[in-house]
Amino acid sequence: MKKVLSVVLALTLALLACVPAFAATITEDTEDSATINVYTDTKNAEGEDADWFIVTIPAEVPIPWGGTEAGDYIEWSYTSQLKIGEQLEVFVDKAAGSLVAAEDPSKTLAYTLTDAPLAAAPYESGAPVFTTAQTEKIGIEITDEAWGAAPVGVYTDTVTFTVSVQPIGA
Amino acid sequence: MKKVLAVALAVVMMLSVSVMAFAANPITNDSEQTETINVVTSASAANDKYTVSVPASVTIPWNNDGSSNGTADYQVTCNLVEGSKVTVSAAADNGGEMTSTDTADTLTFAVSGGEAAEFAGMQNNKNTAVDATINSFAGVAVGAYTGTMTYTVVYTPATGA
Repeated sequence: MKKVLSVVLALTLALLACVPAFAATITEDTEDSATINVYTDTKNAEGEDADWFIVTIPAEVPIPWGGTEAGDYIEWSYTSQLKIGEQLEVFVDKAAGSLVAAEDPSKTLAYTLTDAPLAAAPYESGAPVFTTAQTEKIGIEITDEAWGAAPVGVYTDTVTFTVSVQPIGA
Repeated sequence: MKKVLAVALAVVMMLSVSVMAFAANPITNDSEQTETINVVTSASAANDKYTVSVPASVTIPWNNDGSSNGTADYQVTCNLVEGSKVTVSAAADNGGEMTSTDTADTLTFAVSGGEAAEFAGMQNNKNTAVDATINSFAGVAVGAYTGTMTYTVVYTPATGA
């Protein structure tokens, strides 16, 4: 019983020692002004993290047979408002591949991606905030020989983009 | 010895003739048996008391879609003699500029409801609504930015009190 009482008393004392955050007060006995800090929260009013980014990639990149005179590209863009010291990192899963004929999977059309950001050297936005869309291009190159060797048809392949937020200079 | 005794007797006589201040109308066996007097308090500005409580800090939630504000209310408790007053105002410092480490980005907040307000007589935790508002967070890296605001109290004692 004594032990129970002593624990209860100790808890009561601990609770009494907890003090609330006091506001500053100005009285006839103090300085006549008080300066307080005004902070921003990094979360919104709903308690959600306020940073955001949007990376826009095309669902499909059509290439006319023989290729486009001016070149074929995967064009992607981004906007962001990340935390201080953060940036976007973007990379694709390949530097080259083979388009596969829909009607005959044994028929392929080789291509290379130029200026393709890869995992080992991803694209880095370099800053947290881009309010206007930043556009980047990845070139798709198919040689004349490859075009000439492939039966005309619909060939497809996929390119996967991976986006992450990383510290600048990491 | 005789001189000492004479002085002592003179002092005693002086003390014995010291009279109390009598009431204007003493009650005697010949007068009314009751008399009413006034009990009066005196007060001056020296008795004035006031407390203005302001928040320890203000936090403004981030809002990518527009403005956002934090509550910066203050409360006044006072007991002032007639004629005394306390005037309270609140304003953003440095034009409301808010800065953060590791970035050159800044935000700006404005104070509303901080215009000078007067308080007199007796007030008990009289609340005045004040807001610190950021109108736009566009183009600024998300982070903890800090600015300051100052509450100022001007006490004016009653004239002649």
